[in-house]
Amino acid sequence: MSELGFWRNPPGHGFWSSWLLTKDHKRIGVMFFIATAVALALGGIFALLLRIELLTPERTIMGAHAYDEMFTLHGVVMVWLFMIPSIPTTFGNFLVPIMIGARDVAFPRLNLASFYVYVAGAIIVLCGLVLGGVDTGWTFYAPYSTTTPTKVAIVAGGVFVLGISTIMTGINFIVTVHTMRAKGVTWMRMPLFVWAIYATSIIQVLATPVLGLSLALVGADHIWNLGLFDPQLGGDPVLFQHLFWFYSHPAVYIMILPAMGVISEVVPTFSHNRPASYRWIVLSSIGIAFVGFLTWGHHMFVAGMSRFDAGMFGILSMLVAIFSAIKVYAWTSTFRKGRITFTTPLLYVLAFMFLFVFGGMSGVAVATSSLDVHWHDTYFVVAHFHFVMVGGTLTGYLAAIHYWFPKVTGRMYPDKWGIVASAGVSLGFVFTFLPQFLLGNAGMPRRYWSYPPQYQWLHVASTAGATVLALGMILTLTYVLVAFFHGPPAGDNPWRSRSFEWRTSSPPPEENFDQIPQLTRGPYDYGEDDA
Amino acid sequence: VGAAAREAIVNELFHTLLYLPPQASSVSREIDYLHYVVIGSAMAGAFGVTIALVYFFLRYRDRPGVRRKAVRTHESMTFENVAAALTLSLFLGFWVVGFRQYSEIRTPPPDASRVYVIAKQWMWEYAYPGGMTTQDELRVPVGEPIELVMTSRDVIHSFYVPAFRLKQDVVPGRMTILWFTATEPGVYDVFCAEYCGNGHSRMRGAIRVMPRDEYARWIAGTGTEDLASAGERIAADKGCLRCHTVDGSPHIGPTWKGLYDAPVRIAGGGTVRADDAYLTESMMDPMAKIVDGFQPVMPSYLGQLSGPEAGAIVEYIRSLRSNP
Repeated sequence: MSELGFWRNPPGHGFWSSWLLTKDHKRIGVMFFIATAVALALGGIFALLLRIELLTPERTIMGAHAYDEMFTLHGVVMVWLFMIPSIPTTFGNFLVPIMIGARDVAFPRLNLASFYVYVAGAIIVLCGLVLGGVDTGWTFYAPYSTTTPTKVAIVAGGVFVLGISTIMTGINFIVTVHTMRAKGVTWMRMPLFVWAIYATSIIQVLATPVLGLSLALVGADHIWNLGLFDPQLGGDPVLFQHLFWFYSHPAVYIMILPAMGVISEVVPTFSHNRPASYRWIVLSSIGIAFVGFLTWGHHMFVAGMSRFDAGMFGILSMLVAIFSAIKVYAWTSTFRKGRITFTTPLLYVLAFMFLFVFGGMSGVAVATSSLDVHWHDTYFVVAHFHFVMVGGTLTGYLAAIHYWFPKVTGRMYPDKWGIVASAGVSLGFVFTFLPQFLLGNAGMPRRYWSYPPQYQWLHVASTAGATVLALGMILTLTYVLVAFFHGPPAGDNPWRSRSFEWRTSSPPPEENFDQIPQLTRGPYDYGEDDA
Repeated sequence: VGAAAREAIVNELFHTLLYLPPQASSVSREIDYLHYVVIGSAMAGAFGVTIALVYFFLRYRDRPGVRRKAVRTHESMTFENVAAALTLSLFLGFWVVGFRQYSEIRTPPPDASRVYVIAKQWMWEYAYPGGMTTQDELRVPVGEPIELVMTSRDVIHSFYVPAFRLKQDVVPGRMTILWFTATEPGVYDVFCAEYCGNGHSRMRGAIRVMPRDEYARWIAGTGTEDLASAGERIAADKGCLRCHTVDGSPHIGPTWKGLYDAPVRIAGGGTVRADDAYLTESMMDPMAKIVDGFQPVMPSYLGQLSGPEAGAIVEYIRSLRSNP
């Protein structure tokens, strides 16, 4: 077995062809990682420009139109180019086959195709940017989106293409999990990360077509003036919101479930303890995947909705929240009576839990219909979804990078720098968005380029927090890159984890295993022969 | 200290800590009380979990030299499931109270007086029962239920009054309803909360909550004010002063200072005298004679201004002439 594992070019292939034409799920995962990390950097730069503009109540660095395009791009890039694909296509791709004892995913060619479709979608979206931008917000609300002269059809088309990539990856994982598990990997012995990716894939396959449909209709309406959502031509603008949120509410679970899966792996490893309840963590993932489809109307409490509908969507939203609460209790209890080693991934777990619990409870708050009437479309909502969705996904993503870095590269990063950077990222994140909760309470609407001066000090505080967050991210990028090329060898299992992916060498060889392992135990059997 | 005083102190404390706007409608205080409980629970949950984690991290940290077996040999979630059940009851409690308040917000009382609201990019227009209209500033009497019947001329807007804790989308092709009873006289922010394009953040207005007798005088149009000050008020209400200054500086339109009876150069050649006839024509048919050097952007006020209102504005412009 090579020391370089899958990183070494197979004999007879050049560097570029061996990567760009690879069907190895690990290499495809690495390529997705690079692409989505570039998207994260782009989205982050857009965010910083927005924060700088908001330092003063009037023009700071850009005009109203540039600002409108900037927040649209920030949303589109972060949602569809980073948060939705990031964890499934990178860590999911890399780890799911290894975790279930398979040599690859079920459809390796489809996997590579999904990567190129993603790249094509990303290029189309960025073409829309170069050709003049789009100013609708990532939500594309009609009839503004069907009447604005900006490049709605191109960007909506790009997102449509990205959706195809999402569906391809989702189908691939579902089939892989159903058909490729090694002997001994029963459903209830699957690692929790695999369960999370599986639940995510179900949502991806069921919800994404609805997004594709709605954006195709908006694009067609924009080009040919069909009037589907335009009341002047007999259409209905609120219909678009139902279609959009029917996808986009489940989409927030597409973003957060994989991060929950990461947390479910990191917690047992660093507490050297069984999860408090494997079964409840699995069931809550499935529960979220299904009940999450029935709550979309809570985005529309003030859009013009019957009281009955508002009541039903409200109570279903409370039910979906309880699944997340169960997970939080299970993770927290897992640490009790464990043997805890404190490392960078664990600090990210701590940040995840704070952001996710407060962000999630603020979600319960905005699902409380009378409170939502005040908060809807204010910075409170912005702060809420950044805490729970971005905070959850980003800390989960960073925990995954630090936890599986030795698995993927065979090298180790400096844990001290990791802890410094994660403290910067976490505190920066909290101080970016806490002021925004208060801005929302005070009534500051979102998507405002200029604002009344009473809100200024909170905007300045938020921008200061964003600066710390950015520095933490740059520090992370720096030491991760240095460690990738020069880090000391990590050994096959530096965390002494009992999870399945650590049973093969780090980095794993080309087809993952010399021999397919026979598993006779679960992935979290700590405490038996583990003194 | 009595219960009411205690309640006022607690209310003031949380209201300030949470940076909430004034409580100026009949529902804002009860909504804030629910807000305090919900956000308090969120804080307690987030800090509770974080503190529990930090405690576990310290208490059960892996000490070198201390060999201790991890003890969990089977899964048990009894404690956690009880906690989850209690959490769910808490959430359902929020839902019950929240939904009751939501129903109240959404049900206008039968005796509410109506104001019609038209939103368009990027302004608010209000039409009152007596036929009076205003732009950007909505005037209402204190202590009386008001029902706004709203629609949009173009894209979706949202009528938002933070001090009232109320918001309702204003949708083209539909009528939507928002009702409130203002409890404190004063002037409160109105924001457009639904993104509506380039001027979205400029689509801000105000609600002027007036004492009842003052409102009654205003709506009857029989104030004690003279004609020129009536003209000033109408010019402000109708948005004239957003484009025309009264201090001599040119803006989007020509200034009104010193305009009356002065010679005006017309685009395309010629000069007219800015007399009553020209000023009235400029309000009703602005494109007829554009002042040289200005863009032809002024909307027609035909049907927007009554005869007496147009007369009052002319009188106001006359009061700004250079040689009185």
